[in-house]
Amino acid sequence: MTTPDRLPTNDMQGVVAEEGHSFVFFSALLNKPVCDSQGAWVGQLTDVAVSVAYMFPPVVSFVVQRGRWEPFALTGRWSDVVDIEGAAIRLGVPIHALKPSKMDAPGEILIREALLDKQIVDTSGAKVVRVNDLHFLKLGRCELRLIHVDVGTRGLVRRMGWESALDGLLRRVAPRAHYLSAERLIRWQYVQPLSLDPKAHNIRLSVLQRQLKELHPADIAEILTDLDTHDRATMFRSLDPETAADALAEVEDPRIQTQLIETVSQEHAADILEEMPPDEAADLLSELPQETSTALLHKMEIDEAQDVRELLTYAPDTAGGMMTTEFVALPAELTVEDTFAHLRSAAPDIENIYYLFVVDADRRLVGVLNLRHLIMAVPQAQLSEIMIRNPARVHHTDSRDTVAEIVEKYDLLALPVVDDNDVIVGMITVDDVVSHIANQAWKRKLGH
Amino acid sequence: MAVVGPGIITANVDNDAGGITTYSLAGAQFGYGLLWTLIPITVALIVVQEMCARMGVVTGKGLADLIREQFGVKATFYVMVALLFANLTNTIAEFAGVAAALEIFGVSKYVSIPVAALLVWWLIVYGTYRRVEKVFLVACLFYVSYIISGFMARPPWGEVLTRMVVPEFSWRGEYLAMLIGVVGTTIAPWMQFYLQAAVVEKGVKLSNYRYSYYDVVVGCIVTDVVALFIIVACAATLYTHHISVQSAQDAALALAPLAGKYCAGLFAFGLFNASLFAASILPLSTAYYVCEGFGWETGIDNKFRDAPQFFGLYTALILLGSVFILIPGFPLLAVMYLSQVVNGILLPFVLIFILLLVNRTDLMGKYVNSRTYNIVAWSASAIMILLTVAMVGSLLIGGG
Repeated sequence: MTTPDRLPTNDMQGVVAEEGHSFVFFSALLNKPVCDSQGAWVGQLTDVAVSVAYMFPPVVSFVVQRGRWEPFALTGRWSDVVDIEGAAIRLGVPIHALKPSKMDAPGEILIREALLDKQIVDTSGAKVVRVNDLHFLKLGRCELRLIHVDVGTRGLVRRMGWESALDGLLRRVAPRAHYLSAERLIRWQYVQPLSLDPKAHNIRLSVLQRQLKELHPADIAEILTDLDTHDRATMFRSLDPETAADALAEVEDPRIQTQLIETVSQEHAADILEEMPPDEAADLLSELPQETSTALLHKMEIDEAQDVRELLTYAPDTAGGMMTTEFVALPAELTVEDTFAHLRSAAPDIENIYYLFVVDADRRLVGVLNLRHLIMAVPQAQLSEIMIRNPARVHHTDSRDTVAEIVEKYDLLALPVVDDNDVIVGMITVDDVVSHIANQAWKRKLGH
Repeated sequence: MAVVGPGIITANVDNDAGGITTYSLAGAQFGYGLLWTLIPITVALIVVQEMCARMGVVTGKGLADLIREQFGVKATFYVMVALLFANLTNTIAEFAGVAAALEIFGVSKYVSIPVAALLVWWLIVYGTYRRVEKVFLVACLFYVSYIISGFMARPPWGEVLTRMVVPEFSWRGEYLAMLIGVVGTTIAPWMQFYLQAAVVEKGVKLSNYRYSYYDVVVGCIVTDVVALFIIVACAATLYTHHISVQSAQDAALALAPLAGKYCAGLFAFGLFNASLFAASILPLSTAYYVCEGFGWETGIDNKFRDAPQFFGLYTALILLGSVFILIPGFPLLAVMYLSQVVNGILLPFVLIFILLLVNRTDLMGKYVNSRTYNIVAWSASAIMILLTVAMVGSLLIGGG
């Protein structure tokens, strides 16, 4: 059973300290008979609704099914429940006080319908898990607060109704079994539900979404990859453009990337593409059907769209197709002091500022600097005095192999790409090359 | 092309060791007498598979996921245990097929089985689902070897065509058992799980659904065309010359003097290809959907520690599947037959779950079954349930 140190803080602190609290699993309530104030049998408990407006959602109502084959359900307020400990759940009101409908109030979720057996995101472990049971804290006689979601094997066993049997057996044969001590409970704050009633969607996502935003984009990408297509779309739609762009860039499977971008509206998609580095955006657009990518380019801000359009003209397996157009190119006469000033204003929009390229009046590549050179130099020095002349470069039609070779040979973090006139048109960063080098290494290893 | 694959692969895996054995025996024992069943079987197969493909596209979830989410953990548990058992017997049958096929070429099963098991294991370590799919699509081409064998056996084509459309029925016990065997082997329960998972995995969109539909239809037709040629090849030679055979291996060997040794070689090669193909897909897909149903970590990109249930199941299926074959005197034929029986028993349950799910508006929206579709699907299920009951009955009473 859960120990008190797992207990929630914040709004629960006061209540937890009180006497008489204990824990209840949802599986213990599910299908329990319900009796009204006269002691008459009402039906079986099939669901309870919690109010998600609270950090630890209280149970606010319940649903009773009259019979297995009877379609209609009764809904009552949880505050009318007077006992949940006995063989039946006892109500303090007569059966007529129940409403003949299934509750569907805004801000409330039916936990069996929306959570039990469904997939959720565990934002503390950054992965997708399936809900086997739900864990309530019981305050006083009947007040229940949802505090944990059980995703462990023990929850599965409990749902099958084998918990006590298996526990007994294991205590006898293997008392130190990991199973007996391991509970996999996730605190409700770290739960991001996915398969939810669309009517109340927004409420829940806005309550919990900040958890999702705090994850590393690579984690979000992995979660998206693990989800089924519908939940994937739901979650992706709920992300703001910036988070969505970061996550999308981390998704490795181009099929999932295109699927995701096609699940949001074109306006939203254009916003996301603007937030992505142009080379990633171009890669993604090149995977989409022609009409879709044209439409998206039209919806994007002119500047960003221009960068992407330019990149799209290069063949995908050439240096031009690998490069980004976000790089820093500065005139040779600029002083170190002015360069710093320039970087301060330009840097927020540029992914990689460790390498600075120096160009002549016609934007032809004449030198390269890194941040270290800049920091070590006197503020009044001109870039032409401290730069490295005649740096390594590739032509935009050069192959991936050539790019990989040069990056490897000179240990570069970034490689400039030039056109026929030696004018710098882009930059390839090492992370775009690494995956290619890794693939090459694999092929060599496998003897291809 | 991005959508094509799942339907064709599923349907071809269907012609696995158990399938080829059943069709060979059908041809050898009853000649052209069962050909007429292929058309209704194909229709039923298309209906069943199409429902799953549609469910996969509309809900974006696998069949195991949907059963878990809609019917809860208990239903999932029993379905998964039954499926696990059925697929274990199927896996044993596939390895039995590998052993049988390679023994025709003079390779001892003590060599072929460990090599095949390692090869299948290698797929999970170095392969990805998608790359593997390409290999499988190529493997599908090798089913042509059966079509060639069929032609080399020089059947009377006129009679073949007539017997395909003119039903012939017999109440003889063996005939009924074989009829059930042919149905059971063609519409196997694991196929629905595999197809739906593969469609979801491919991320097929509703706008592309008609390509998936064609993929399913073409796959089902191709499967049954291959089945047709296997039956025809065995009918034209073995049945005509009253040669009794026990298995697909016998059939291949017996074909040699009657239809030429290339024909027999092609037949045996086909069996090897089909068995290895199915031995790779079955354990992997089983591990995938069992784990998905229970919410365990899956995926061949994980390390063993991160997905112990997934790797454990996969390894256990391959290990058990191959180890049994190595036991001297292991009744291979009985296991192949048993695997078809287990498939048959499980099928109606799976079909009922499918039909309940595919008719739910909250899941399928406007893509629920049409009335005609429901009539066809329910009656197909009803017939399959009847046949299964009859099969179990005949097994209990007369031993099949």
